[in-house]
Amino acid sequence: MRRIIFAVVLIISAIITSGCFGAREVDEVAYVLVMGFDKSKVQEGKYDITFQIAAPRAIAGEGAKGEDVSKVLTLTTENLTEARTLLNSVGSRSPIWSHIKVIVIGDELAHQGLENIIGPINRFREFRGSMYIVVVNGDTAQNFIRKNKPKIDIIPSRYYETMMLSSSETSYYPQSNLHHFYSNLKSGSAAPLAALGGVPVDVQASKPSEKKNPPNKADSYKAGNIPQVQQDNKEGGADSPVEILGTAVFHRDKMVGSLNGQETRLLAILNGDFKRGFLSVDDPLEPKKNVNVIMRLGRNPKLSASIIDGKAYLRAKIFIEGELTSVTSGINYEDNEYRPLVEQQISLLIKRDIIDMLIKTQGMKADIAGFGYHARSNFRTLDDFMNTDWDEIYSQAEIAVEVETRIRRTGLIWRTMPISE
Amino acid sequence: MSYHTGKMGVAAGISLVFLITFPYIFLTTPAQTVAIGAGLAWLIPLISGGPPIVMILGMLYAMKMFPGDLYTVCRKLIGRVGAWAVAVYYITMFFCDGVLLLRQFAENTLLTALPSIEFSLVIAIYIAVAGLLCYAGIEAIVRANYIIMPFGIFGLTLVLLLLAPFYNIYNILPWQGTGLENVIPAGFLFAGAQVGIFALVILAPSFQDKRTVRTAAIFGVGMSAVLKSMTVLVFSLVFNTVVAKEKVLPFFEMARLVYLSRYLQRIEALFIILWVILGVMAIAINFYMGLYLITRLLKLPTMRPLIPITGIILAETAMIPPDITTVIVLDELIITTYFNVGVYVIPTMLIIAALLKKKKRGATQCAG
Repeated sequence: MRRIIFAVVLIISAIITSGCFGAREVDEVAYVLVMGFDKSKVQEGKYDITFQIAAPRAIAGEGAKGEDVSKVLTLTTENLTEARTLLNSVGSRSPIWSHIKVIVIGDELAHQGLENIIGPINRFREFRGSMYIVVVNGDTAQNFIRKNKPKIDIIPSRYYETMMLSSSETSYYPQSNLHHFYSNLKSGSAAPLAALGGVPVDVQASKPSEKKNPPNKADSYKAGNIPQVQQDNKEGGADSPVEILGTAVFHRDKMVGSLNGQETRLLAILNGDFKRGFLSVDDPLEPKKNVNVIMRLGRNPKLSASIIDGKAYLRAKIFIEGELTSVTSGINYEDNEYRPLVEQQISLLIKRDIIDMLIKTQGMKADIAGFGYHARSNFRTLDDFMNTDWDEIYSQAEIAVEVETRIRRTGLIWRTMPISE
Repeated sequence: MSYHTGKMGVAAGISLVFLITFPYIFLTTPAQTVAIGAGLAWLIPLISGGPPIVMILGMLYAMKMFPGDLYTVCRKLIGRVGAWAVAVYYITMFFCDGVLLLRQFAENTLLTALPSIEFSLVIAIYIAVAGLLCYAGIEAIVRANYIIMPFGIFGLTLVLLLLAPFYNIYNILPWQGTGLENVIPAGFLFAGAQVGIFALVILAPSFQDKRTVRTAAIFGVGMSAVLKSMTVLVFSLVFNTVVAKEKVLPFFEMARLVYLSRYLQRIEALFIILWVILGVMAIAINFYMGLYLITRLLKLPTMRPLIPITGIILAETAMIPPDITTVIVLDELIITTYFNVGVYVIPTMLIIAALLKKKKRGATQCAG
């Protein structure tokens, strides 16, 4: 009898503690998938907060179109909590933020500073560190979210997730998330970074952020300026989803500059995050032609930072392995006699571009490669390091980069034969 | 059923010690540890495991000469008043530990799983379940725990491994952290977190022999210390020191961060279940030990009638601190002060008393 009573009491406690309090059914909540922040243009000191909310019925239905699967609305409020309160009044369902996939920050707000946004985001339980963060290049988050109408992954969260996960294919944009952003913001050892997004402009208006600098054969672009060929569209203008290309660089909580796609790739090489990517360089013996390689890191790069008499000496040693994919000149670069020319060409290019990129970030006082972490070993305790102004030391640092390249493979051709005359 | 327990083995002993010492890893303790030690914070749990083991071994040596449980040994060594004082100290220690755990786990439940629930209801449910476990007895608790323990350890290790993509080895630089002169003393100060190990000595007659107690102490505290050290290390690797110091729930934050692909993410809900189970059992053990000592002191035939009223008192006490920050600060203060009395002062006093009594006994025998 006693055991039966005991069992009944345990069952009742299990039922009571099963979390019925505050439980909400799936059809009682509004899932916010994307959130955007802009400086309000209408009211000074306020924010325009944009929400892209899932429309589950449309997602589940057959033949769902991109416009139907979500709704976008923007509220002008003092802060995030007020936005959440008002959001409950403009929709029939309670908003829930734990499924947000990406946080989009407008250009103007990013330059103003994110102090009032990042703090609340990290404190509230519905946000998580794995949420992606994107800064819009020269535009508002509202426009970015509204214009994004992908045709392949029509569900916005799926689109952003797939987009960010595929960043490793080219390393032209970082897989930036809240965790890394916040960690770098507080660590004082590296600059916070975010992926750079943009709304496509007309192809006539697009221009590279940096023209090709020989021996580099390719122009460099930032998000919003990719020269997309215009498709037939009765409405005119580019008809494609938004672009993510490049990196937004922050000094503390303010955006101070950006890197284009090629610079972002070089950053990935420095950090050891670079998986593989194509590179097109001038042919060493016929500069009007090009040699294309697919390159990867042969080993993790070695970064070091030493501080002598208050001055930092930053060193980077990089080892690249490549595979020839195209030799338009027909020169036999597979041969031991000519291959070192290509290797040297690639090494010089990467070295020069990395140094140029780092010098550019020195001007921003933004240690994008995280040399500050390596500099910590020069100090006995963490407090000693935190008492120095690493950003200032970084801006005056002397940089040396060594790049070694080895062409390991030559594709399906191991010996180029000339075209017979 | 009386408060006298059956014969427990090594597994039960390890389970008991692990249950009392380990659940702190699910609270704010890792963040507090990182705040003190920075990159070298992982050393603090390892150091803090040492003194309790040494003291337990010393007390077992003393108890070799004077068999019985802690109260009996104290009566023989320091008299009736001294024995009462020691017993009252450990009663307040266990109840204090239970109250702090109860409050913190209840707050964490509100923060992570059930934000809309009434706070006093969470406290009531936790203490009710702990009371039920007490009613079932110590052997039931430890046997239930050593079934759950492998899953708990596996789950914890899995989270730590799944966070590998987020490791940044440079987060623990400089390797001296805040300096060895801060880290090592902090390790000894935090030994108070392992004071529950003395439950082995209090329940000594319930174990098969002294070797069982010794093995349980070494392996229980050792395993707990190693796992705590690993957790703090991974926490430091994933979050740099400045961010780590801010976290209320380090383990929950780590579990939330796990993201291997679209298919392996958002797994923190699984671990909420794990730490609630371990937390409730830890509260129950502390509850039980306090009641055991009360019945032992007052020579009561059974502890069961005391369970409801003590539960109510503990629940009310747990609700006294006004906010979570006060509880976290109080927890650290009590561990580093009051609990250290039970780790260092009382065992040292008893060991010295035993050695003096042994010397006196030897002199008497020689004279005789």
